[in-house]
Amino acid sequence: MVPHPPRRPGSDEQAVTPPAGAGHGPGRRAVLRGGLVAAAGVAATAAVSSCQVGSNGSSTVATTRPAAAGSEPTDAATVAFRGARQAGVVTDPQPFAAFVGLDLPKGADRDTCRRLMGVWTDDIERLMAARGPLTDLEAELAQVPSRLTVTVGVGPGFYAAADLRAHAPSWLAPLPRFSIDRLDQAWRQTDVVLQVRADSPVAVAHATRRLVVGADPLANQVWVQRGFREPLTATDAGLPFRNQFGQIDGTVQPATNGPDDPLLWIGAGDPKPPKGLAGGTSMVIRRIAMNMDTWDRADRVARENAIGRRLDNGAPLTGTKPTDHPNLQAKDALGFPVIDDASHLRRAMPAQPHERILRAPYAYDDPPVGSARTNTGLVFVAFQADPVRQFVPIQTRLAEADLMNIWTTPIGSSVYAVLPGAGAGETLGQALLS
Amino acid sequence: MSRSTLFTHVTLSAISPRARLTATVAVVGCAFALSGCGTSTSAADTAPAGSGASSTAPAAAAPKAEVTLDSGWVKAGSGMTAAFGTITNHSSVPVTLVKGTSDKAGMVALHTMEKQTDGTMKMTEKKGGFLIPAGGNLSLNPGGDHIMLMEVSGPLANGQKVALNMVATDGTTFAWSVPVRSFAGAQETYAPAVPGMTGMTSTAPAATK
Repeated sequence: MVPHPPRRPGSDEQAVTPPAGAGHGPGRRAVLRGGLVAAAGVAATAAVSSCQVGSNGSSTVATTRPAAAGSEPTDAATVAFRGARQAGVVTDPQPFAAFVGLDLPKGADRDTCRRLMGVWTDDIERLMAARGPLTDLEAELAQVPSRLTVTVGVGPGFYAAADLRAHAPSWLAPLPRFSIDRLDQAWRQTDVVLQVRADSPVAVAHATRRLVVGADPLANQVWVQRGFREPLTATDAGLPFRNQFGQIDGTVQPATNGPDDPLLWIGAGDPKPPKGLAGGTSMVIRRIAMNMDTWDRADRVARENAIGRRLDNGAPLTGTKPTDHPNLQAKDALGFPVIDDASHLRRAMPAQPHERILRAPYAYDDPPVGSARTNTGLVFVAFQADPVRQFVPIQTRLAEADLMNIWTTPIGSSVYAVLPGAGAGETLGQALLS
Repeated sequence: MSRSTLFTHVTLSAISPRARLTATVAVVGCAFALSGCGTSTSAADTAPAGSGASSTAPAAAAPKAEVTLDSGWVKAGSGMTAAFGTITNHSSVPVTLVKGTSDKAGMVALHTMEKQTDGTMKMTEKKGGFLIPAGGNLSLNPGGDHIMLMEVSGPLANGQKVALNMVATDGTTFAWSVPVRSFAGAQETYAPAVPGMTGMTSTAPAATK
């Protein structure tokens, strides 16, 4: 039998009231395309984002999503690179993404790390401004502004190479082995990671290529994980992310406009942040294979029971709107819980207020291998100040019991420290490598 | 001229010893003659981090033309390599760069690529130097005008910086700190020894018409 998760009265009382007009504002893309001033864009963003709600249930807070500091658009469709925090964390997820894991070469030292970050700082600044990097002979591919963001993270190997192991945050280590994991070394932890996201797959492909070959021989590519989400269309800007099972995912999130900063950003709540990481965060990347063939056998009632939410709009099975708070005590006419004890929503609910994470997942649908008809799943991406404190308890509960485990298998797992942003004249990682 | 055409170079070792000696002497002579050459080291050290290209006005007190290398870069490598970017003349008078020195290369030369009568691309010395009009600029690109670095002292690695000191006809020196970048193009396919520095033959495939 599934263990009953702890009940925590009051856990549903952190809700932030959505702003008036939530869900009725003009689409973000429409605003951006329309070239309105940034202030209008922020207002529209807040309105749009408040109607994005989650299936994971790991947060009980509906948020407003004004553009975060350091990521205000500098023109219609570019995101600022310079700032105290890197872009691509609280930036509204663009529809296309590539995650690239790279390793430093053998014999790499702190100078290698410095030079790598120097090269990437300049290349990323140019790319995000819709310009080609220095050596780019096909710069036209960079010149269509498409909200490109590139986010750099470092793994334990980076600290080791830079002789900074003593300064590495304690959480920068492999996650605990979960019973459900079937990890494939193809998606292993690497020394550094690039998250490249944009409105255009052309921009993602070009930026990824230029950053990877531009880093040669300071870092060598290990894996690439490409993903996509529903494009933000002018007609339905609030369209939430749905995974390839059709479930609304990555929905109820921590507030990205300040109140939850201690959960999102290193140094926002910790008076003694790890060296050089104030303004950074952590990024967990887990590759979740989804068995489409067995999922096809489940009817919609079974699917909704597994997730604990309605498939049509993501509302909890005890509610009607996505933002409704789940009533975990509700019973049906026969006395069974309306929200199943092993449902994803219930198992992912925070047992403590700090067990919340900012999710930015992407679907993948890669070419099948062998006789398989699909190679489909989720690039689960979560940002949080401390993954051991915030993410591991959630994942532990999900590994113990989650009906979704019937159809999903984690096959990759890695954890990175996302460096702080680079201010004017600074290089990414400068404070860490000084 | 096609910007995408690969250019080819002759290794320095392939140059006759006599020609090499002559060229080296010429550069050394320039270094002695120009006090401005001394600014190179400090320019490299004070370059702002993270900037794609930086430039420093000549150290001399007299007001002189300001010429910068914008978005400049040097191809990583050893032996012989080249610098690219956009030379911008911020002054109201035309400037002609005629020679240069570097902290990382024994020889610096101003070169261009020219299509020959047989259709091949050949690297030649830029006759008369690089003329940058008042308020104008000159693009240095693989396959076009470029600053050759020869006798490179040790491999130039991605992410390092190189100091370039480019000298105008009036003796003014412009000190640039230029980042080194990995680059697959600008392939130097080394040709057999040929006499002389100018009019070096090339192994580049003939251009198709």
